[in-house]
Amino acid sequence: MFIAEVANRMLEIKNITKKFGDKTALENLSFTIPEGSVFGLIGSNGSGKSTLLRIISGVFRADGGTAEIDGESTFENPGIKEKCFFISDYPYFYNNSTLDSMAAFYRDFYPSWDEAKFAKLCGIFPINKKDRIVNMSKGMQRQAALMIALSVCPKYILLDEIFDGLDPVVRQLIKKLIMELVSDNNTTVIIASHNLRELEDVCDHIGLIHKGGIVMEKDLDEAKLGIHRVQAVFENELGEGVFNDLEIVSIKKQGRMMTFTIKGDGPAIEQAIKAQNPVYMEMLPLTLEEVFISEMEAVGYDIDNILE
Amino acid sequence: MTSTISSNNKHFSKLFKWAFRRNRAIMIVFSVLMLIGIVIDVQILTTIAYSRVVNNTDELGTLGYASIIIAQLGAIILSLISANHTFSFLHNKRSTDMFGAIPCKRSTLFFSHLLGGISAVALPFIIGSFIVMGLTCRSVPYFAIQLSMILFGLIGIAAVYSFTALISYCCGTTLDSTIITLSVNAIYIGVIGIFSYIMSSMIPGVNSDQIFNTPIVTLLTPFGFPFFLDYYVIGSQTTALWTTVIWTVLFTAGMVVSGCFAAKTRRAETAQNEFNIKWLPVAIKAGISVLAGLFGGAAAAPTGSGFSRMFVFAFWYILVGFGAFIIIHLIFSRGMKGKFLPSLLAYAGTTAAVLALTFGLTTGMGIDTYVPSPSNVSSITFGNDYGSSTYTYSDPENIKTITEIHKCITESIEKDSVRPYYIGFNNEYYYNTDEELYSSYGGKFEDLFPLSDNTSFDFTYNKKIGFTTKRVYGYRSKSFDYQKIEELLKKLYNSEEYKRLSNPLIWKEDAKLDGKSPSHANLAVIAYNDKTSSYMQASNIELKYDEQFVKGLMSAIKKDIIDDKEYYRIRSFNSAYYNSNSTLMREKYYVISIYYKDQRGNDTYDYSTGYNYTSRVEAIIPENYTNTLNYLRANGYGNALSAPVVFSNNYDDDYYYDDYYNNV
Repeated sequence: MFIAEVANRMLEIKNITKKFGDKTALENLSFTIPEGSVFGLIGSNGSGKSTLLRIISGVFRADGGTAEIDGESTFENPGIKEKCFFISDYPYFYNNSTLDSMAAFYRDFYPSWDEAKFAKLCGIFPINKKDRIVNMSKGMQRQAALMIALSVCPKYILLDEIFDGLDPVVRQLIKKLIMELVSDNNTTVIIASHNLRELEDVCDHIGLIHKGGIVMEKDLDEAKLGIHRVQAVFENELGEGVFNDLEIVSIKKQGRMMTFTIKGDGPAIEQAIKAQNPVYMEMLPLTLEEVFISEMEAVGYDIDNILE
Repeated sequence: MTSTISSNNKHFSKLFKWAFRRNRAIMIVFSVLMLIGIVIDVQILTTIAYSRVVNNTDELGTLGYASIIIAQLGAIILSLISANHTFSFLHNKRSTDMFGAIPCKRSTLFFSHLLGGISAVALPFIIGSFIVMGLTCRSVPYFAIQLSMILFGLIGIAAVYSFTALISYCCGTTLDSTIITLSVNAIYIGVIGIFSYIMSSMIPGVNSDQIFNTPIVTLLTPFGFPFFLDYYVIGSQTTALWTTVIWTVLFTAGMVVSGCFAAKTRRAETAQNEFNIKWLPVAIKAGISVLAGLFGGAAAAPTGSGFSRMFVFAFWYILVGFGAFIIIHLIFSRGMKGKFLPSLLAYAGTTAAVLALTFGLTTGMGIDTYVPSPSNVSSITFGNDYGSSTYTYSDPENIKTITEIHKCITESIEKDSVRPYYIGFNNEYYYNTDEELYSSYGGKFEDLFPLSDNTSFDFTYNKKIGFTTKRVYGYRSKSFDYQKIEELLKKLYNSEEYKRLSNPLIWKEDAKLDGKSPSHANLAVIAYNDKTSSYMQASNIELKYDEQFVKGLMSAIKKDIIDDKEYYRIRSFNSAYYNSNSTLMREKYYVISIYYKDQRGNDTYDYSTGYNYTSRVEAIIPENYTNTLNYLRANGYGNALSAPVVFSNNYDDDYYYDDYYNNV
């Protein structure tokens, strides 16, 4: 019984397809997000990240497949939605609403609402509870939305471009609060963002979407370890096909210095390079942004292609 | 399960309060307008209508009607504004995200917003209307009607709100939703109005009243619901009232159910974007093009002559209709971005259908010669729409007689071979055939058989399956078989049903009217004067008006009427008195009038008797009504009856009266 319950506590995307008219936004998308993880959803513009979040939160109905939380579909399922909070890329507030009135609105919808936490957050964030939210800046509105989301103490929190328009201090604060929520509440967090630098700090899992399909879905460390950059200088010109055994994503040459981006096991790559007797060789760590670019290049999404 | 229901109820009440509070501004504005309106209504309308402050039951009651109708108008307009405001969250991507993600069912969201919004408009309406009732209602009949009108106002609010809500769910923007909500009302009533004008101006017998006085006009006009219902309840049109009440309730229920279904199936991504129901804008574009085309065509048609009017109509229909179609397409598509072909096909289809129908009507399409079979008819209202001689006949023999009369007319239309009809044809037909006609008795036909304005034949068939067919022939044709019509009318007017219908009070067991005893009774002697070729009232004698006498009098009149084998002549006596050109009736007759008075205060003054009265019942007594005349003689009025009344030109009018009074 206990094992079954634990196994059910996760978010499953099962063969989701979503079309907007003739355009397919998501096509047969499937992956699983385990409980308590912080999942970074990355992808090119228009890849379907926000659409996916809207399907998970029950705003959109999928044309095919289901988004299931704890084994149940989210669409038209208030019981499941009570465990889930979604902050869209442009959070909505009633025209005359204040933080206080919006809190009053959400309080009755979410049984897990924590009044003490709301009071605490009101002390942390520089927002007056009595001010009209629509008069606040974009960043302040986002903070207000996050204060409400954190006060709900949801089991699943879906954040779309949450770092947009926030100053560095608030970004740090938000990352800290998200981590607290995960550790205190075992909340599963899904963040869709182009700000890969911030995601790198908080995410433990990463999903890369492109043209409505999943390109990669991995543990972040695994993703970063699975791709390597090697800088090397060779005394002689390299012969044709010497690295045929390696999965080279890209090669850049600057004078005699060659920079390889290679997928695969680190020691095997190092051994293959060394076999060509480089005069200089160094394995460099990749940032998430570099992993993203590399992966996207692999599916044909690079600057050269865009300019063409 | 219990927890889910409780949670749903909690969410409903929360959202209901939010929707109600969102409409606070509208509610305050409406409340203020209602209060100002009540004062203005009572003061201004009183001044305009009566030039004084009124304190009379009927005048106050009428003011109450006017005030409630104005309140209904305000409520309907505010329902449209409020519903668009309440459901505008569907037309904004950000708010759609919020409401889509909160843990409540879409149906709960729909019902809470619907009821919250309706309550915000209904509350000031109810309070204001009850204040009006308190100020203006002094008697039970007015109380019942005003209470009904308040109920109709509430039905109207619910209908408009639920209809607007449904359209909001079908649209991506508030602008589109507003355009469509208004368009559906305008298209439906506009197309019916213009088409009924076209038909009534083309086809003999078809009259626009027959459409506008039936509940058909209410079908897709929720904005008009309360006003149609008011019209029916004030006019005591019971069948139309109940039909419309049932329809408005069904319509509202249908809108609520459809709205709930639309809420559940709506694609949230249509917010700020496209229509959720793809065919809706196509249908509206086609509908507006039909309305505009009909308007343009019907307005331009009179510039042609004869049958060429039909081609003028078609040309302007296509021109104006296509112009309107393009404009509405540009509005819905925000330019020329939208798909043009489906809409164009819909436009082409409706244009072809409307033109085919209009040209088809030039043949009459059987409408001009249609007479319902008596076996399919439960009753017929026949006679004069505007006078007191219209009665509803349900005796099968009379139904047959009336359909025979109708056939005499349609056969003449068939015989005249006047087709093809065209717009405006009916008017020309009327003026070309208006000639004086004489009956077989030697007098003018209309003197003996007066119908509507002495000329027209009105038939309203109430079918057994519930529908109504109406034909009005506001003209006379030479080819009508008047001899046959005359015989049929005589048969109808000699029937017991006609006697019963035309003298309802005579058949009562007591002399009271609405529980009131008679206040006066009068006997007038009417004589024909050869010198002036007109009927005159020769005398007025006040009769006893105690209940016992009046009861006996009524009993005698009843017996005479039953025995009368030429009862149709009674119509002519009365008509001849008011018609100075009368040439047929040259007999002395009597008019017995019984007057009733109540305390309501809107009395009528009778110049010939000097009585103030509220209600009056009259019976025409010819010389062959021996029971009545003997009863009067037995009660001491023999002199008045037997006094010589001279029918010659030997006396001047003055002597005529003197002579009469000297003999009494």
